[in-house]
Amino acid sequence: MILKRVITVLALLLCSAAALAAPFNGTVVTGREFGRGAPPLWDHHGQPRHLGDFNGKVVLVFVGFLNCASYCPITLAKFRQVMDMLGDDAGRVQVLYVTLDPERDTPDRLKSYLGAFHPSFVGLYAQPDQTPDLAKSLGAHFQKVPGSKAGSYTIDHSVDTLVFDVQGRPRLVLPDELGPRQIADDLRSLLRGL
Amino acid sequence: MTPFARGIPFALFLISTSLFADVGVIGPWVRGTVAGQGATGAFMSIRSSEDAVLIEARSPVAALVEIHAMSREGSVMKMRALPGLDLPAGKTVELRPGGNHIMLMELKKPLGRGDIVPLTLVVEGRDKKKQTIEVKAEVRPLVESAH
Repeated sequence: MILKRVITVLALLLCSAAALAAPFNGTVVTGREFGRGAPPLWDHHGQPRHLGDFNGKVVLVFVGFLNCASYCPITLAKFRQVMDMLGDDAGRVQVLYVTLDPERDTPDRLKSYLGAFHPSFVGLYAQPDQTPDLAKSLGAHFQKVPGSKAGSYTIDHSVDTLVFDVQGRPRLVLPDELGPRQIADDLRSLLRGL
Repeated sequence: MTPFARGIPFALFLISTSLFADVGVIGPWVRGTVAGQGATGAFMSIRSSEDAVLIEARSPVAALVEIHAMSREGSVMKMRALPGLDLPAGKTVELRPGGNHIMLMELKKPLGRGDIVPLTLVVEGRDKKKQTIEVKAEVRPLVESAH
């Protein structure tokens, strides 16, 4: 009898441990204050925006710039695959691409670029002098690096994606190694309220 | 014929016929782009019979071309322009995604699957003599189909 009880308790403990173990492929960042203190933002139509405008959806935030030759387009193409996998749930997911190069990445260029990946993707930017503050509030690394000729430059940046839940709370950081299926699974978990 | 003409059989293997070091370029390709994208990478394997340095690359599709080193530090992607890329004698030097590559910047138009991108590589030997190598790189889709 006692043995049976011990087994029951052990089984219950195992179950709760499994439930407590992160059900996510991304890194859990619940409690961090990403996004707080972000400077004023505009979208690719030139309209003023706040991150809070997207509450009600699970929000993915990726920083980059349009002269980024590999990580940015590859990541956005991956997010398009994620949206395809999500089916109807895709309507409750918002991809935000934050440019760290607003001087060169005009709203029109952002619009045509993002439109090539998915019609729902939104481009955001801050005023150039506030871009470092924006990167900092998103926990993203940002460094302008001079190129080979006067005036040319490139940008070092984080290739992780920050994920907010439907209430606008930072929840996950997705390393760029994650594949579309793993990302879609995480987003479904957040949509289920995990 | 425009540089973008489709269907040109691209040079899979190309050896210069000069008196200088024999420089072979294998499998050149360029990653395709979308509208608004300012830059992309060109990739290939290069092998020189003598010690040499790739000092410059040019292409009619881009206003600015640089030789770049790319590296990852944690979750941060870093790119640096290189003054030149060493081509040690007899060694195959790989230009590949995530590593050293030729960066095509200020692109004049999007590059789609099947386009051919002409590239001119300038290689300098130990005697400081320069030779140019013409390469035709095939444009591959941004991402290969996942299905």
